[in-house]
Amino acid sequence: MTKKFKLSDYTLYLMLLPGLALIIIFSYIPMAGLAIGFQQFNPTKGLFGSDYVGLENFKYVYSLDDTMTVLRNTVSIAVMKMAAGLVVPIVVALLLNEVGKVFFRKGVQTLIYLPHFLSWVILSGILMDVLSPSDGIVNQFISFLGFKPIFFLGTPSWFQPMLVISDVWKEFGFNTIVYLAALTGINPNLYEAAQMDGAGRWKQTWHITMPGILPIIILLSTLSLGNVLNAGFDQVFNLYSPVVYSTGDIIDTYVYRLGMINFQFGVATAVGFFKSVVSFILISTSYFLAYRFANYRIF
Amino acid sequence: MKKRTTKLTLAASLAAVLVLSACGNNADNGQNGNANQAGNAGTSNTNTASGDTASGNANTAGEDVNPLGKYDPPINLSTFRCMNDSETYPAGDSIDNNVWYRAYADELGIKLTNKWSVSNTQCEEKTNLSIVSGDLPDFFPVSAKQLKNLVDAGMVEDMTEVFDKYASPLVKEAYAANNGVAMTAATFDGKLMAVPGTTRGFNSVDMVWLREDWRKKLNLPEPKTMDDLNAIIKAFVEQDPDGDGKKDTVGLTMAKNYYDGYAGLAGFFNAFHAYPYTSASTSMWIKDKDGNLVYGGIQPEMKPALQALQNLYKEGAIDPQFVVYDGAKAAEAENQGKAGVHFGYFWNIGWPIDGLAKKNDPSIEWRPYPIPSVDAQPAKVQVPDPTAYWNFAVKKGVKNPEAIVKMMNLFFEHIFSDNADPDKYHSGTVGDVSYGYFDYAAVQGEHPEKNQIAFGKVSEAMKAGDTSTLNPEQKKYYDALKAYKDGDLSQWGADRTWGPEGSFSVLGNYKDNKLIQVNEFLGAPTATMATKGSILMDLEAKMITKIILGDSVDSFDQYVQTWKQSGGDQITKEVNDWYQKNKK
Repeated sequence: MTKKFKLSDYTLYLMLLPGLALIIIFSYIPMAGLAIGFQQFNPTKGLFGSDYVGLENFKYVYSLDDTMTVLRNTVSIAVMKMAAGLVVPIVVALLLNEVGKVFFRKGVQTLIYLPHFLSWVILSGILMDVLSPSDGIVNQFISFLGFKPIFFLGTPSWFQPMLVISDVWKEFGFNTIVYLAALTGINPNLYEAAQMDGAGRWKQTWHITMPGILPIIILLSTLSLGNVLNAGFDQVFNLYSPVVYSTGDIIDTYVYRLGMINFQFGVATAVGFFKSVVSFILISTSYFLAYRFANYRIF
Repeated sequence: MKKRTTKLTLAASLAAVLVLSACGNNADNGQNGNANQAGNAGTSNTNTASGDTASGNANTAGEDVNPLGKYDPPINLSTFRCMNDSETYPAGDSIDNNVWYRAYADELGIKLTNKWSVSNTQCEEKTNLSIVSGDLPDFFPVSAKQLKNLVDAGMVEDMTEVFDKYASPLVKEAYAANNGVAMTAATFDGKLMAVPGTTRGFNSVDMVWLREDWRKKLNLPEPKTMDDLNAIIKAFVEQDPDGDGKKDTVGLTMAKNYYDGYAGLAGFFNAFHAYPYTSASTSMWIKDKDGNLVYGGIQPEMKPALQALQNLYKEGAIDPQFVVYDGAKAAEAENQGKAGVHFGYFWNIGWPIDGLAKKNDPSIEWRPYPIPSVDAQPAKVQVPDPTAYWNFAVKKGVKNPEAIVKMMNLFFEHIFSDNADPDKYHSGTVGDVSYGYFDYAAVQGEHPEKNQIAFGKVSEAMKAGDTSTLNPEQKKYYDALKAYKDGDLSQWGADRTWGPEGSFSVLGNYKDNKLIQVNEFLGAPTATMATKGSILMDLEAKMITKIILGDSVDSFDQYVQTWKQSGGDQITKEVNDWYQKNKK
């Protein structure tokens, strides 16, 4: 599996350079900014002139009443989004793959990935209209069935499910494409062989298709674990309101209200740092698990 | 977020157009305001100006103390600009080359270049970046918060002497109005550390806008008391004011952010003599009976107001969706003719109400009313921030700091003075596009009482039918009013602003009857305010929302406790320390 470093491959290594440079410039150098998390940061004094306050910012964040609520919301929203965001595209991809008519398949594919290109700013406006308890189409349907209208975006217990559903709706089409691409990589001979052995559609899916796309599934889920604490600032910020803070407020929106509005760069950085550390632990763990149980390695 | 800000920016720019178009002649600021006095003041002004220009040319730039003297040879200055997204420029012009920049070069000998210009929405961030990287132009607009940072770091020029020496009489007069309050936030330890820009002051107080045609149709009395207003709000929901046979109207328009001017609640609370946070700042301080400053939003007057809101909500007079609507979204109901009451600013006839709407539907009638009171004591409206909310900081070590003052002089000269040329420098319409030229100016100022003065003059002229006392700009408003009277419905917006029932008459009513509650704390944000202010505003927003939706009004007491413990007590102490030091 492992290859030895060979000087004759130098062209390949050269091709690595631009990418490495980008990573160093945009991912490693900015890490020095993490120091702000330990400072009483004053923009006029800058990174080197500001006073260090130790763990003050972290303590401050910890001392706030809402911190635990916000953390809980972040994790639960993110986990639900990850689970739904993983399952739905796979199912849709498998179903689409069974469709024979290319024209129909392409059409559906195009339609479902369109929302991916709309920003949450626009979508939030659409969602508010669609979900409106007085004249939204969803509630008109609910009323038509004889139920009471539901105020989806103004009821704390409904807010999280709405976040998950709308996020999945926006993104599943795009992820479906990735799985469809993986599906085309499976050797058709396998299916023919399976048919000869008498395997039906279901058996073929289970024993050929699923193992075929398993690496991609593991790769995407491993990567998404690293994002576990990113519950989606854009989406939440555009949809939430004080009435659903109890279930909708996430770390990013909270920090925005706390920090950015009042120049509390130190506090904001501290929280961002904390998030990164947790995310790092999670992605390392998931990578280790993926290796142990699925024998899957990225590197 | 972007949509919201763009709309708000649009609203703000409309407001600015109205404010500045409201700016009248400053020279006749006297009590009798007769033509003679105005003429005299104007002439003397002109004389000084022209006389000094002559001597200015003879002198070197350094010794020239003439407010409008020209630099010869010309000097170079740099700045950066934050503009509205919706800003338009005449063909060939841009933010780097326009009527004002040309005036700077031609009249003052200042060659002004923009290091960069961004949309207002990114202004704060971009400015902070420039401050952090130390890449500052010669002068630039800053907020009170940024100015405090710059002063602490010793990065800006002390403008005390320069301003005193170079500011024109007109500028000095404008900044001396209201006890010189405009200078307060730019003054640190008695030193003026920036040139104050525009003030919001009196222009951002609440009034009630009503669908007057609905009120008349339902035979309801004018809102003299809060009971009247409550009755109107309820009737607008229950009695089908739009006459379509459906119960589809909203009583009181509200949005989730109580501190925004449009569809906010400041006016509602003011009716109950309560003064909570506002959009402008994380502070609103009033004097208690011992003469100490206390925060308005934790006073017991809040409770009846919250109860009243809860009652309105229970009765279905408030659209429950207000909790998810921002101002722009809340405005839709009004634009669709489904809502008839909101608390807002004087410029609401420009947005969200369409000042041209009457032309298409003459039955529509909106009218602004003063905030009614809940009891026998008249309601006072809160003025959160009468100081300059935008200052022009001058980088430390700039060779000609007075140039910035001169640019301010020029702004006043071309817009407010007797020689003003509003058609060239203020605003104009070419074809179907209107341009707000004033907004291109890199240094802008304002007389805090301009609008009121102009309103008085225009109303007087309307009564007397005599336009001789009006300057060219006031004449413009007069003509618009006259046209409206003669049946030109496209001038409805002007009538609702300048007319006898217009929004400036409401502001005049507040002023004449001294119904103004000024924020007593005028300093830069205190240390604790800067760190904890937004948490406290957050707490308050949550408390208000929950009570409106049905929580017990007594949970307000819990809020007061939390507010005090979460930094409120410390802020109160700091605010009072400032007050003791700066009490006049």
